[in-house]
Amino acid sequence: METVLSINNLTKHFGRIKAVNNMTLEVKRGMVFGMLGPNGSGKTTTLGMLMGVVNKTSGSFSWFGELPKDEIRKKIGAVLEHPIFYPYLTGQQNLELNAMIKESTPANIPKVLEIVELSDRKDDKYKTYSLGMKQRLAIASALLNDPIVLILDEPTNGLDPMGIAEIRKLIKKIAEDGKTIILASHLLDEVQKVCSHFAVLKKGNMVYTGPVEDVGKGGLVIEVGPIDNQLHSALKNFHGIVSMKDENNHFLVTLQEGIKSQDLNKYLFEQGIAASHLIARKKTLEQQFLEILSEAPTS
Amino acid sequence: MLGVLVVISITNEYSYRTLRQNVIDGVSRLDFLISKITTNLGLSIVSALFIFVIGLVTGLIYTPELDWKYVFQSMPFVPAYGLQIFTYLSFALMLGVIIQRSGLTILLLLFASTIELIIKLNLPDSLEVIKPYFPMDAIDNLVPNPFLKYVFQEIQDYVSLASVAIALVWMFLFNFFSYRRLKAADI
Ligand SMILES: Nc1ncnc2c1ncn2[C@@H]1O[C@H](COP(=O)(O)OP(=O)(O)OP(=O)(O)O)[C@@H](O)[C@H]1O
Ligand SMILES: [Mg+2]
Repeated sequence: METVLSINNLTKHFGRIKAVNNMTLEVKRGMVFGMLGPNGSGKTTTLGMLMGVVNKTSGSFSWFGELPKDEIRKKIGAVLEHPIFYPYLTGQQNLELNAMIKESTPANIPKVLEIVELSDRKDDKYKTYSLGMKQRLAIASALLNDPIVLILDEPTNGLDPMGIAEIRKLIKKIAEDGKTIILASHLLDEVQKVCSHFAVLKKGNMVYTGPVEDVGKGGLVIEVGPIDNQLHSALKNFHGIVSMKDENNHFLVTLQEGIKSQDLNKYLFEQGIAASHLIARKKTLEQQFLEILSEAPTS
Repeated sequence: MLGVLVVISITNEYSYRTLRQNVIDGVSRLDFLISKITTNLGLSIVSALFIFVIGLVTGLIYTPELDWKYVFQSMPFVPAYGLQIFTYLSFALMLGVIIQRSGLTILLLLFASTIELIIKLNLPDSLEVIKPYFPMDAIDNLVPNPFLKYVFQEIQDYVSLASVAIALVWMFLFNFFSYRRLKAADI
């Protein structure tokens, strides 16, 4: 697959704060790439460097195999943090203005308004828009020059569940059109639902990157309880176990790949133990995310 | 007055983050600065033409007989005045680019001459010679204040090439500093 973005040891320091530290990353064409990380982990700073508003301290990155030039950003649509528009102009007028800046044809305006479902509000002033509509107008503006890549920084920030679902649907729709999307978000559920790949940042360090479909692969995680000594020693002797830890009133047991919960149940039964609590957990991105963060070295 | 306008126009680009959005949309920082400098240039030319027309009209009204010789005699003052305005606006733009906040920038702009005066007064005598090279002085010296004419009954009625050269250097430096600063800034 063709490489859209390649980041090499990219670093940004703000004084003594290491906002982004030696990041190396590749984004291929057609990926929907999620960037996860707690507040202040460097997501916006990274995207800012990619879009030429933050100067890097060291390292490099290239778009479409070329070193960054101002012109290249015209092939990239980006919404970083809050949408920025003129409040007294209508949505349509704002887009006309932006089309001029991006040197794209105003003929695209009806199309992008249609995509974000704002056509019927295009002649209202921007300041009368709801937050969700503002976000959607920003996405429309980013789509104006039919970019190859779309960069979104927390596009659902501050929206209600309905608004979030709408934006999510919109992102999926845009992704299906074959666009590459880079999405920074706190909503793990959202990333799991719309992204194909993701990376996790922690204090400026990229601590994980991989495909979303790998989440939940590996051994099953099972809750077994209630906790007692007999159960404890029986579990310890079970051949198919990877790890085990206490959690509230039960043990959290990770099994080897291929071992099913029935196998464990049968084993315990043979040992004369009837576990009253035995639930297989589906591993979500959220769990994986928290695991990655807690396992990552703090430096 | 125009200086304040320029300051507001540049600092608003920072506070409303329109500069940031423009850069994200693919405008280069240099292009952005050039558009601001071009606006300054336009304002300066318009001001100079305005002064020229006013001068012409008052001249026509108050001179007993029309003689084009006199009209053209004071011609050099028009471009000099334009350069004066442009250098001053370049200075205002630079302050705005560096400080990014309108209030503080306007204050500094308004008090720039006072600040310069204070620095000059505290200058050791040995550095007396550099006094005319200070930026605000350099700008003022281009077209000396005509009111002095009435006080001293005489006035420098020509544009000195040296003062033009000094102002040009400052004008260049101001815009260069704006460029340096804008290029290095995180916006
Ligand atoms: N202009 C700046 N000056 C100084 N420090 C900054 C600046 N911008 C960001 N930082 C610092 O850099 C670090 C990374 O910030 P960044 O905004 O990239 O985080 P983020 O991952 O986008 O967080 P959030 O999820 O809250 O949006 C933080 O510690 C932040 O304080
Ligand atoms: Mg952020």
